[in-house]
Amino acid sequence: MNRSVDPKKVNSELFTLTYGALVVQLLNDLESVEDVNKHLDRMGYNIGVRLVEDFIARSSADKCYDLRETADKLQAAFRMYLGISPSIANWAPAGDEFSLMIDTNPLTEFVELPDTCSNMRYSAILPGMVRGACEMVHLEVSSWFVQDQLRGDPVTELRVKFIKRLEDSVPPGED
Amino acid sequence: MTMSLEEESRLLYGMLFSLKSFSNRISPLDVQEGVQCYTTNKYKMTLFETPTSLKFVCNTDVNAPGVNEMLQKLYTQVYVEYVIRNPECKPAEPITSELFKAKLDETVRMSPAFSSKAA
Amino acid sequence: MDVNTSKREICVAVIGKENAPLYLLTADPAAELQFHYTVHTALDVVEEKLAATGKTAADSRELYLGALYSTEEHRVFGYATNTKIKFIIVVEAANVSIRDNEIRTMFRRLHAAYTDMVCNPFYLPARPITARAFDRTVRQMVTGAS
Repeated sequence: MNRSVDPKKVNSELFTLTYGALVVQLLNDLESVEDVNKHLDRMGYNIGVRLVEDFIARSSADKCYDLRETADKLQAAFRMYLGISPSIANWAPAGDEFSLMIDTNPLTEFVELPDTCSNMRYSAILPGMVRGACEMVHLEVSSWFVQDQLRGDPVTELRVKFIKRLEDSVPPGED
Repeated sequence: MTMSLEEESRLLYGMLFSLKSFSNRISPLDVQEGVQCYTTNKYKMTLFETPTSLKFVCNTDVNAPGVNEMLQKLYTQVYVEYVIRNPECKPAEPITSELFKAKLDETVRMSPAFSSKAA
Repeated sequence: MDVNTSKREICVAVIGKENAPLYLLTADPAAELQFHYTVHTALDVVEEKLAATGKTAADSRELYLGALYSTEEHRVFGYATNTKIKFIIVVEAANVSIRDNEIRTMFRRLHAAYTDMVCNPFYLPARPITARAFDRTVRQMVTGAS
């Protein structure tokens, strides 16, 4: 093959299968779909907290003035790390809530949820990552799936809601 | 006059915090830039702050060139590379990685601010 | 297209490594047991063919095994992956219009569908196949709607 191979890039199927194996192993270990959802979210949070530094270093992103800019940054991050470009849609009238519409979710490429796991948030790692990354740049947000192709919806819709700005905290012992 | 490293960093943090809140008060709309450096008769302090509020500070000779560029390099090529990508290093804990230390030292030595002092 | 060719295959089966049936679909559900026997018989021929080819060119083996055997009512075709998963397709003997190439293509589609199905992290290897997407693909093949 003539294609130049970036040694740092991983084959997308390997990535998809790795994530799948992780989710199923979690399910085997925890034996509760609810716990798996929570676990995935927490893992996503921990990834997001780190990944945002990498994102800023690579894209030399600056601070955002408003949530629309934040939405653009999130979109760019999805492109950078997952190779997909979700569209931004469904802004709330107050401008504090929006959705990332994902046509093809690389995490779920081969996945079919068994009937026993119908309330599993298979891709719960994604909203966790959004939450973790935003928290590091002083935005408290909540994020969740409104629609999911795994549960038969036409698209996967990830909702992001702004809650409040976080201020720099003073370390203990300082005034 | 000497003081412990811990004491010095506490003093520095306190001053940066005050400077920052001062600059926010007098210029509340400009959230992007903030304080970047100040110069005294004896030394220059350069601050590079990331959107995640990580602060990289370097005190240098008054005329040292390229300090801000060096701090950015420290962030993108040393901190992100050897702390963020190292699962052993937990965020918001003191960095103990020896590799980080070595790379930090290397980057600082390569900076024009370092060599110009020798000249 | 006449009625006869609209139902081209009448049974599709997937057999695991240890010869346990993983999946079997027939156009006529009532005849399912009958086809289990037919497919089971075919496995002996598959084993024979695999043993024969194994001696000659082991690495560049053709996955498609061709016609396994024929009875008065049926013709049976086989396909075995390198991981010893066997696919069996049974067609009506009366249906002579069906060509070798078409069978080959169908096996390839079946193999692709099986590969995607195996990639589902919730599927445990060597268990009966219950995946809806796989079932849908095979049903399309059996009813001839491609």
